[in-house]
Amino acid sequence: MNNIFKKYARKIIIYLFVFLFSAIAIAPLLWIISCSLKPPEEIYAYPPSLLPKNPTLDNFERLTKIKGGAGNMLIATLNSLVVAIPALIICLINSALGGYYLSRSKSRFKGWLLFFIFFVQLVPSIVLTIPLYIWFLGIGLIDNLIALIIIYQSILVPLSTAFMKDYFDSIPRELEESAMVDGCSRLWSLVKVTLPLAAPGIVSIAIFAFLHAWEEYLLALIIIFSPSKRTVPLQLGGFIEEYTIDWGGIMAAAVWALIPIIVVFLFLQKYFIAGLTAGAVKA
Amino acid sequence: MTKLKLYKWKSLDISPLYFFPSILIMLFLIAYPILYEFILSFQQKLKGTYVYVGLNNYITLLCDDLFWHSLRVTIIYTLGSISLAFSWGLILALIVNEKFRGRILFRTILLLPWASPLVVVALGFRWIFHERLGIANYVLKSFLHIDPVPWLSNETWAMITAIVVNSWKMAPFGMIMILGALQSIPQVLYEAADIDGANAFSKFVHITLPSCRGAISTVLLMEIIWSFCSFTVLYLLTEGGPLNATLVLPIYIYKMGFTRFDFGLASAASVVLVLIMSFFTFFYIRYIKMRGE
Repeated sequence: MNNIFKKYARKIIIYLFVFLFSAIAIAPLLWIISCSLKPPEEIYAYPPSLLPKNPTLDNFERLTKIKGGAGNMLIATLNSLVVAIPALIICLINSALGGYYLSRSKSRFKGWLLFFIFFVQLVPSIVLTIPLYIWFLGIGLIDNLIALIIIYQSILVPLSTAFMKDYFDSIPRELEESAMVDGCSRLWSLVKVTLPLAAPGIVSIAIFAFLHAWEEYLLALIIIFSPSKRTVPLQLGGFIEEYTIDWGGIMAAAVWALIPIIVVFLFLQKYFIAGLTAGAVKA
Repeated sequence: MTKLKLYKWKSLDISPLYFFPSILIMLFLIAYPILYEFILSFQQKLKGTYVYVGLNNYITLLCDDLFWHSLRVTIIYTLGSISLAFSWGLILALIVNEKFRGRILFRTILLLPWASPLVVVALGFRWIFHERLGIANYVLKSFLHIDPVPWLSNETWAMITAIVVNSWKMAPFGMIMILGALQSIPQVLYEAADIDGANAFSKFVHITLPSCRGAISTVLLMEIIWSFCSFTVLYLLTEGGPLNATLVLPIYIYKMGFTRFDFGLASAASVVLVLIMSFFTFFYIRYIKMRGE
């Protein structure tokens, strides 16, 4: 009897904690979504209503209609995609080749290279802002989306290369060696044999790279000035600089920035988690 | 050449060219900028050109009260964030490690904060903790009859709010890392402890924690680094205010560099930040090595 009671008490406590922490995790996001659907008079009303009484997409519509680029979410989304997709492709090529080298090479410098990558991963973006700003100002790429594609590689490549190295380590080298015995070149055997086996790792890296480019704020802030070249995070941050803060617009823009991430997260959760723990998994 | 010889020749070693693009990016976009920054920290811009000024920038930096203030704020913020985020993550991991219905669903929900972009998190919480119109104060008022809390306009509260927001975002990372370690603990250990009559607490201290040591040290290092270098959350949540109460070192560097355009001073501050980061990393690596041997 006592044991059964104990078992149930434990279950109840666990559920209590699970519900409490889940509520803490999801409530702020639900609140953002709820506010994004409220018309202005309801957003600033006190007491606030939990759910929008007259749900409307006005806030979203306003975001797409702002003229001149500043605040226009459609242009920002386009800019973000223009940065994120090439950044993702460059990162994939580099990390596949680099990770493959680190996994298969017998060079005696390999240990040093791994140490170098580990250290380079931990360099914070804020430290890079000044030299990169001066540099890109010098070559005239400031306020240019191409600069962002290049700069993002500084964060993406070390993490993804280390991640792909671990992934290639788990793929037996006998497979590509037998392809090479059959007369395949090494690069061709990598493309034909090893890479298809590494597809889950590549998906993780692609998600990681895309999301990073989608949400990066600091480096974009120092490189981009023109309102028409803002990426999505810059557009969101730009709301705060306005004289009167349009909270309905901010909440709608926040939901806008959140949607692709939530979709990817819900459908590709396994790869998503692997990608986000990339680099942190192994020293 | 026989086939065997060809095979040996081909598998001798992989060409370093494979690694060439990656190393190029790391050298030019990370190693070289840090070196350049180090050089810049000994220079000042005079009439459009950079001239060598010796240790002047460092002296200015060390005499700047705001720098020491920002260092203090950063340390408080980091200590607060890692204690809260780490214990939060540990509790989440222990809960999700239990068997209950809907575990996968709840794990997904618990991971959402970590997946959300920093910009969204910062601005969302800025609205939630709005002093007059925010839902946080409304809930406190209507359920607990507490007077409005100045979440973002009081110096102490702003720090607390920033720590909570940062921990909300970071905690799931600790959860997923520690959960991985928890799930690889052999069940036999607990059964053996049961036979020896160990209670839940001593099982936790003597089996669970030691088995997660690797994951725990990684989580702590990452959370220290993220908090110490965190810019976006604070910049968009409090903008370093009120009265510089949340002006952490990265915001200090940003303000010196990009509002005052004093690149020499900002570089000197960045070099200090890199040194502090290296210090943490050094201890982490030593710890890993020590455990490995």
